[in-house]
Amino acid sequence: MPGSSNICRGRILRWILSVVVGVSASQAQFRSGEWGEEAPASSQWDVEFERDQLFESILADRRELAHERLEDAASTIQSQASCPVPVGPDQSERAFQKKIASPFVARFAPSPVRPPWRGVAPEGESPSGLFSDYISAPVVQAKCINCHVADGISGHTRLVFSPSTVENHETLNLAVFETFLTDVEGGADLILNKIQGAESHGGGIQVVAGSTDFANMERFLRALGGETTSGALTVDTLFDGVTMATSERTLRRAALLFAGRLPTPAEVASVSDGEDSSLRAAIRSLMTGSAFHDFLIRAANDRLLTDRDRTNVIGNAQVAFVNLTNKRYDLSKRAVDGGYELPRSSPLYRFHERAVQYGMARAPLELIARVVEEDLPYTEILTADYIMANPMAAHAYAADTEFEDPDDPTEFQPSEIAGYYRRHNSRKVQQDPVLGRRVVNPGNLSTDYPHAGILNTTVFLKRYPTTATNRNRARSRWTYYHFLGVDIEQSAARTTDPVALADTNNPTMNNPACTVCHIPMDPVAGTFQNFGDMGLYRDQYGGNDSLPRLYKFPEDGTVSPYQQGDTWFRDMRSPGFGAETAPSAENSLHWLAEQIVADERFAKAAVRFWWPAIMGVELVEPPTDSTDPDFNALLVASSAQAQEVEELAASFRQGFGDGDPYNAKDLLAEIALSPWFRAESVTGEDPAREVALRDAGVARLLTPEELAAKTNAVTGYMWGRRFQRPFGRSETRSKLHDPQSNTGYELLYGGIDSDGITERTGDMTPLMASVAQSHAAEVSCPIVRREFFYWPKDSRLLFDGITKFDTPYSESSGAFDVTAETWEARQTVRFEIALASGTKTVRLAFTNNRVTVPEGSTEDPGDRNLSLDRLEVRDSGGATVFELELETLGRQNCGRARGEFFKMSSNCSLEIPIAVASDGVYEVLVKAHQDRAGNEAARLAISLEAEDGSSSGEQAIRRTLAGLHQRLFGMTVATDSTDVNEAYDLFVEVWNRKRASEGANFFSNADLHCTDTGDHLYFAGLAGEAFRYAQGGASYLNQDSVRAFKQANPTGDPHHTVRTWVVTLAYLLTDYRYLYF
Amino acid sequence: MQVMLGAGTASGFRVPLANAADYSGKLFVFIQADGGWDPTSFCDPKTNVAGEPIINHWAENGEVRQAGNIRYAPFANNQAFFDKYYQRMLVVNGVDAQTNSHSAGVVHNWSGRISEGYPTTTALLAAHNGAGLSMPYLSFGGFSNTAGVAVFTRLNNPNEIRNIAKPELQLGDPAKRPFFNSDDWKSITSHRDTRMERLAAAPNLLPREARSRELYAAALEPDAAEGLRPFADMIPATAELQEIEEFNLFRSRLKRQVQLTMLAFKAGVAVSADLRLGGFDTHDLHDQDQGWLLGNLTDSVAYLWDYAELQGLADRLVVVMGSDFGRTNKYNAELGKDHWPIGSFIVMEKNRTWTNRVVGETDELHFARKVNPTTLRRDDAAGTLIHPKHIHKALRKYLGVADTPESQRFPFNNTAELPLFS
Repeated sequence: MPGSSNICRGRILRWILSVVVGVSASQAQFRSGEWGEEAPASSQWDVEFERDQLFESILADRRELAHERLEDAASTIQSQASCPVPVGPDQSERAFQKKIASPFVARFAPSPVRPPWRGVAPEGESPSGLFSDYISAPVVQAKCINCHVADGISGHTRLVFSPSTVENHETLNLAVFETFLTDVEGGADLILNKIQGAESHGGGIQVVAGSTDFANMERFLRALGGETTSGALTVDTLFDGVTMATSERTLRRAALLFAGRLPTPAEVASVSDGEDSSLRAAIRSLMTGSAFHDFLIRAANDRLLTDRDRTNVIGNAQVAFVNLTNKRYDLSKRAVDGGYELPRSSPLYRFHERAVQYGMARAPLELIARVVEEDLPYTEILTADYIMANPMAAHAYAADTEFEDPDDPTEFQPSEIAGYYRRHNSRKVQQDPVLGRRVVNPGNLSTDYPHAGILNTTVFLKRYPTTATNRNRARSRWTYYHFLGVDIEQSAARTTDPVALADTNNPTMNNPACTVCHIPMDPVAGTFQNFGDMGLYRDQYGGNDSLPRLYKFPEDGTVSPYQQGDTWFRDMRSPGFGAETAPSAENSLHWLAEQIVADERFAKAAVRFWWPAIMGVELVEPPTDSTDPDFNALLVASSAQAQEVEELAASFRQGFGDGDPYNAKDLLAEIALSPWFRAESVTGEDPAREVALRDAGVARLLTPEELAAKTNAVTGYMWGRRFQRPFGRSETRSKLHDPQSNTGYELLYGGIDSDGITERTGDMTPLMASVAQSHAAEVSCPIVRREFFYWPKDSRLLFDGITKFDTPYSESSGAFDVTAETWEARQTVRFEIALASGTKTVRLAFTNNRVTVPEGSTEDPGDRNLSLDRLEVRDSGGATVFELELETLGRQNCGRARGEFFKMSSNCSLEIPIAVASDGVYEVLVKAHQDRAGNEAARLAISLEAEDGSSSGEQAIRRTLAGLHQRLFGMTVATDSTDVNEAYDLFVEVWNRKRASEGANFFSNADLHCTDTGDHLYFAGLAGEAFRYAQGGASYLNQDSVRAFKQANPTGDPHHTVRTWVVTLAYLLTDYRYLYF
Repeated sequence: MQVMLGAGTASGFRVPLANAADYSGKLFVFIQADGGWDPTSFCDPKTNVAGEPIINHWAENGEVRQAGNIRYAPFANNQAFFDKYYQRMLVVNGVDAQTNSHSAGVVHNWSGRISEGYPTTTALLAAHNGAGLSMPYLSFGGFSNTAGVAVFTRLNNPNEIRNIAKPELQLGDPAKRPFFNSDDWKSITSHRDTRMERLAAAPNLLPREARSRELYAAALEPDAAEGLRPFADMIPATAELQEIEEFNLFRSRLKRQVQLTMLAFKAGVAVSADLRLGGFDTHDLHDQDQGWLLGNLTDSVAYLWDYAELQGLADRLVVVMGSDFGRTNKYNAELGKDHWPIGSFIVMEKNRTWTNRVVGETDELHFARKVNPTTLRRDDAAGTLIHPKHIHKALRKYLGVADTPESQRFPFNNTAELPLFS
């Protein structure tokens, strides 16, 4: 098929070039005069510059060496597969020739002492002058020539250039551009798009929009007569008119994201100066604790998806981990001895199994977490010469790792695989039909296990398995994807010649249609040579290799190229990376890890790795089809993000500010400072900007895990919180996230299962809205109940400034114990209050009719009642302004006149209107006595209410609503704001309905459900041992303890306010601003 | 409120149909055989060629069969399937996915374009026909890119749907004490909707925030929210749900997906669905695994038609089956088959003139041949290879979404219009 070899070569070079381009582009942030307040001291600039010069020279040397080797290697494959030398001007000289006209400040980039800066070409210069001075060396010879050269990968295209070794190359190459623009309609635009990585440019991003090189290319093409149609929106103007969120709001979002909590007042105060440096420090300080750990684990798993195999990493048939096999056997035996017919169903066995599988499965995620949390160089995620393990996994590995708590399966420590035995005659294993396998003799093939960070953790290898024909290519593909930011499959998303695919002459080695991917992919696949399909080291019989048996000993009559001692396929490329060959089969994966972390793409891949966890979306890829209506806008977006990634990666490599190189916390903080995270609003209507910024800024839907954590942080309540042995309190299950299974609402609410559903969805659907509403409906009641009835006032999180007596009409209220027990001995309760003139209502409520029976008591506690004799209101001078003998009220809903007094025999209230003539301080006096029962005195609540909108109760409610808006949404609103008015209207509507129709006990109201069991920590600290574990390991509420606590803590709601707050809270918890952040 | 061009403005809920709940048009099921099925053992049967490696072991003793005008391989449960349904089938063979990459193949076959960015036809159908419905577009995994024209709903935990469709009720059960009485719940929802309306109309929002507010407001709209309730009532008890079927390491939930989809259609809350059966990437033990998978696939489609009949939906159904690509025309050393860019589609509908028909052609070694874009007959000289874009362009036109605003944002330029459905 004509051109197929060229396509092949284009792909090969695209891969190789990404190294070259990345290096030069990584310097994009070095620009003079843009350091501003963040410029480090000049002496440090020098140090940084020296470091960069060294870095550049090392990379240049490495590149040269790599190229030489690649040429050698390629020449042994076929001519089409050879890649041109990434020649170009001296890299050390070129390093600072790029100038990014970025809308962003390079936040931590050091300022180098620059070589002469040529900058943007002046207006009016001739095409030949422009080409000679600004295009030929920095663009054509440095970038284009790597592919667009005769016999190069893009040698079949219409742009084929002469290298600088050709005497008149500038003249020839200028003519190439001239011819191209003459022959190709829209040629100038096409070139500009391609160099930005768009329109399926095989070489990816070569020149970032907004850079000096880009500007010069644009000017040059115009000077040649090419027409460019760049829109008004550019990388430079993308964020024009966009307002960034305040430091306070950004801090709140970062706190919820990284720390699963709200920022403390001190943290908020620390960013009040609005300085980025303060915000950066505050965000950085959030990165501690278990919630940050959870964030890291979750974010890392979103990429690696290793939690899919969380419960099944090493099966029972696998005996290489001798300790594990024998532990299983011993536990089985103990179970049988304990009466279990099926030993694996015994709790002891199951708990251990869960714990050990967890310990193995979480190895890569815990390694990432450790590296980040302990400020280790991020490169260690691949180069770590250890494996993270919990106590159970460490035992399985026969490691002597020390743990703070050897029984805690969630404690991970650096460990090693010390007891791995390969298959050999000398290994003796007994098989018992009930008890399983037992290794009697592990054999002679003990293994000095070659750790390589994440790469050879068993679960990573299992998650990305191999087959006899796949030959570790999937592992290679995902290694490229996760750690180099290269999606090899995407590079193959083009026409595949079916004739080529019919090729039986080892096409992955020889056929250009295949080699395009396989040249970069297969050597890396080879570095995984020691690990078989299940991720085990040299798992074939004899323990010498992991090569499939049918490769070594084919059964179809063919002759295998296999030779004794081989560890890799002879009909594939040798294990290596790029052009370099792995020096040893023993530790080729560790060697690969070192190559990867030395590759400049590793840092960019790290940005790409963590970006979605913070932004909620992947980076924008360059668009591929210029006929797409959104092409230009998406091109601007992808270019701007590419620039952001370049800058972040460059700083990540060398250290942000004064920080250490490869510090991931710094990187995370810096991503959170990005305008892509902080953008909050935009003025003006520009459809292109709206497309380019379609996923930028605030208002990302909280993930299920984040919503659960937020509600816990804000209210202290988690929807459906449960615990499970052996993990206990160290691991929380909830209805929004169950790490053990997918049985909750996690998937319905956009979560992933790390298997078939691997991408989170942030677009709300009615079903997801139902989850959110169900969450609010179920949690609001227990939250409010605990705040008002169970928690002391100073422990409340939401309602610390209000009481259950504060109604929309209440001026003031108070609760009084009535201890007099006869009418004759009746006491006078006095209540002083400031009142404005107008019509008021005095509400007299009996609030504790229910009698608590002491535990174990068999005595009849009697019937508590409250009797009221007389109500009197006096002004400040002591003159009576109102008086009423209460027995004159006759029969009411909750009581009736009994001779000289009015007797209340249930929780209820009397409402007596009074007229207040003038503003002043008044005294309310009530004469009362009780029928004693139990240990408590009868309680009388007195409140004054006003319905004219000026009551202190209304103000208290409004203040509380404003506080709830602050706590739940992070919004500061006035008590008369639209938001508070809306919520207050709801409150009044509900309250009026309830006081007209419902009883005065929180629980008796309309027989509504208020769950006790919705959170197993609900009664923690209140009811003694709040929960216990069943034999099967699941937690359950300790009802005995809870029942006693509840009996001792009545829930009278005489003014119907608490129940009204339940409704109001449910309303607020379904507010858009609660669910998004 | 800003309108975001290309950024998901048409959420599918933006302009509810007046009679959305009474939608009586066609219903669409796309079944993704994930991993790359083998058409040569299915609807594009290939026997072995002398001098060439063995294409199919079944061909060593078996012969190609035919049901109506459709030839099929004597493999798995094909005979029962083709014999029963050939009159509802249009088979398109020789579809060139132009890739041997899973990710590219999936994108290409289900959006019609090899590079990402285009929505699935399922999404376009939902956007046009399902506006205002609770979950117009169902997705059970696989590729379901919406490109902002619609929002898909995952229906993976049917038991939980019952619990949440009526949020004010405990476990959705009216026999239990509710969390809120109906008056309180109405107060919550009405006040919240008023607030949401205000928030959705706020000025100067960034595109994501505008879209998020719009989507949430739409999700809370009474028609959408209330629509879940009848669907929840229709979900069978766990014991009555279709069982998850297992074979070695394979687990198929396809029949359960079918069941839930049909019930959602019946309840009037959905109009289109992406169903998925994974595992077709059979690099080893190809015959064994594809045999079970293809059998499970065809059995599930048969169940789909039977269940649709029971629910009174069969006459409205359009079913499309496809895969990432095909498998190689030979076995590898592990008795597997590797990737092959040529695949097939099957489109099914009752009582149509375009069924009982095969379009597209491959040669004896399963290489695609060009067809005349007008006659659809083989035309090696001047014809065109059939690509997924041809399938989707024809589907869009036939299903009435070729000219919708959503579709026009994602055109198939310079693409012949194949008369697949005439």
